[in-house]
Amino acid sequence: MVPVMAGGTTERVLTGPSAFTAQLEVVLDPAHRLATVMLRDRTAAEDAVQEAALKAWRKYGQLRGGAGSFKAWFLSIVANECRMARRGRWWQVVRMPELPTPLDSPEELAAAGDLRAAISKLGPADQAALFCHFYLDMPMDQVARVLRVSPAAARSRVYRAAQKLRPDLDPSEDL
Amino acid sequence: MQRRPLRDELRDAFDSMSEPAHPALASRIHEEIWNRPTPGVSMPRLAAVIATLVAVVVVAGLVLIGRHALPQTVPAGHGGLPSGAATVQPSPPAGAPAPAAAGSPGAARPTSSAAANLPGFTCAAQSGGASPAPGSTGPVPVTAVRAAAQGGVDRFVIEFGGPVPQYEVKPQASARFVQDPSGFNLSLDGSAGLLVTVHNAQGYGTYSGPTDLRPALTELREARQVGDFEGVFTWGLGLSKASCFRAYVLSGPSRLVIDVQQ
Repeated sequence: MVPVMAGGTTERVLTGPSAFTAQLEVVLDPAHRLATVMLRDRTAAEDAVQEAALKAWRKYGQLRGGAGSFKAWFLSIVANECRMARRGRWWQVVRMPELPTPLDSPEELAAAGDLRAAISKLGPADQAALFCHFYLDMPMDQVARVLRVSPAAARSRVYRAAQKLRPDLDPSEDL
Repeated sequence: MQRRPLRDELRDAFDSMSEPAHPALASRIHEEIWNRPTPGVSMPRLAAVIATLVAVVVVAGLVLIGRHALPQTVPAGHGGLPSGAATVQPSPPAGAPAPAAAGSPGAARPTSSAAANLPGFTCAAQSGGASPAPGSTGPVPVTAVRAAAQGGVDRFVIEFGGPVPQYEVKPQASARFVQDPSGFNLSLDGSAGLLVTVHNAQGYGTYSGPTDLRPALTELREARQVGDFEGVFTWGLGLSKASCFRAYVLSGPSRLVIDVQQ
């Protein structure tokens, strides 16, 4: 009976709320930064991260793999939350007036030297790809998990997004 | 001019654009998660909890309904009994006087007994009276209330226009009573009291005498109507000290008599 009980206890520890919150704590900061980049609004970002955390907790039992996969898995949920938040109608109404810029495309903004404004103009998948790859230093296969695409698709996504910010990007530059 | 690598520029841009998570966010999320059931089993567990709650509510409801229904069925056969005394009340009136032992509730008083058969004095609560007749409707009317000293006792009498209904007389350690149904406190003369409650009786419309008697006797200092509401006719007696008493029923006219020992 003892081994069975020990096995049950281990299982509970691995899937219990304390294990989840311990893993969550490590990725909460990058997740919140990703959400603020994608939403440009702290309150909306906090809401998105919180909602993502609860969704992740509900699906936690389905997660397979170690700590590295938790980060990519959780960030993909956060990115999806942010994408859905941006798609909401209130977002179109509320956010548009707050971007008073005569420049439209990220390319123009980047050329004007305003990299932050240019990033704001990117699509959500581009933002998430650049953020994960360049800011969080995630390897391409992890970025692919965040974007829920293949590693090859993630690589081209990162490259094309980077090109929008720097049209004269040297293809040989290390991405 | 050599431009900075895109990686560095993006790093700076993202760093200035993004904000670290506020500590309150982490604690808010922790709180939410700890208040939720374990994933995977949440739905079955929730369903079980709801089912249990429903079952408890149903059972409790049935118990409550049963409890309330029980006293309502008793008056049909027994009449106007307080639920606590329902099981010990003998229905046929006994020819002999009721035993004077303390705490003998439910001793039916002989409706036709002479004064010679009066019960002894006790210092505990007493009760008696007749169940309403099977065909009778409505409370028994009260026709008179009076108090006087008589042969070594202070006597309080309630006269009825029908058989004396169920009554109880409870001694209490003060002369303070609570008016029914207003809930007002009534302070009577004296330092002890008797609460006389007659069920299925009514003074309203039939009794027009005073509702506050001040005979100022040795023991019985004051008698005051405490309630005449929904068929419950209540008087409070203010006594100069805690005294033993006897409560019994006389006929012709039908009346409830309470003798307080001097």
